[in-house]
Amino acid sequence: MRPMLLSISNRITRNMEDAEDVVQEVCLRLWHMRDSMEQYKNVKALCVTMTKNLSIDKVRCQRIELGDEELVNVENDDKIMPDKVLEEKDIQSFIRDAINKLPPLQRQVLHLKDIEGYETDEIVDIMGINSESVRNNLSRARKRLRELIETYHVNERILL
Amino acid sequence: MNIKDVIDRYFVGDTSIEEERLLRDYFSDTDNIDEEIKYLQPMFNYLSDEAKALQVLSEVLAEEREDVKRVNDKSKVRKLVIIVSSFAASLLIGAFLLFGNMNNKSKNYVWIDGERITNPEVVSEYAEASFSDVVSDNDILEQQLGSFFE
Repeated sequence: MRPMLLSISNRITRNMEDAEDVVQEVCLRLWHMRDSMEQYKNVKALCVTMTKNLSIDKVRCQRIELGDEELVNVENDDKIMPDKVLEEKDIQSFIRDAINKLPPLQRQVLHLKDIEGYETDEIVDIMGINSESVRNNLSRARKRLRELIETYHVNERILL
Repeated sequence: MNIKDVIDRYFVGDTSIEEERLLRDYFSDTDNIDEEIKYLQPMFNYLSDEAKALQVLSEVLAEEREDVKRVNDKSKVRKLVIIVSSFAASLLIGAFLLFGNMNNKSKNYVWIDGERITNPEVVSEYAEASFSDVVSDNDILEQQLGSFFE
């Protein structure tokens, strides 16, 4: 399975070193989860999902311009993450949770349209609902996400 | 094209695939986003990243299925070669045994008038003819006893 996970990560991060880091992280997490593996019906799917998510996180971190900021804490030599990177990780995690908490129909329509890239007509065929229902559920899902993100930003400003 | 109009229609669910791609491209360019709508950038980036990752996953899994299919096909071909080879070997052994027996028959021969005869029927005829000329001990005894009783 390792070559497959490496291939997935490499194609997402476009960097073999980062891909190696990601797969190493996946292995480490699996090791820590080894006592509770029975609860997972499909370990392969779990590994693929973890690899995908960690690879995307790597790409997002790289997207943020770190500039000339020092990454090393001078006092105790621990590595620290710049605030921007942490903020990016937080909000992405927030959005992932927000999507998972959407009502099932809205979540499915949003996933099919915005992530899997299906056309409305195709979603009608897949889900067995009419195009008006697709449009309405899509609109509600997107608006709900927008509200949650606005709230998130307001709360962040309050904290600051 | 007014990007805010497109965004409004996006949230109503009225945008085309092309317009949605336009929105993602717009929000991926960090330096040129309108401050009023900048808060939406994480949402579009998230969806864009997930879509790209899913495409990568589909490609990798499709390649893996192809590899498995290739390995299975090779295995089938190997099995077929073994079966055909076994059959051919059986035929060869059978042919050898059959042909070998036929050849053994031709090893039987007789010399008649300086000529080597291998035809089994001819050999058999000459053999019977030769044996019929041979007088048995019983015949000799019968002849002698017959003259005695005359």
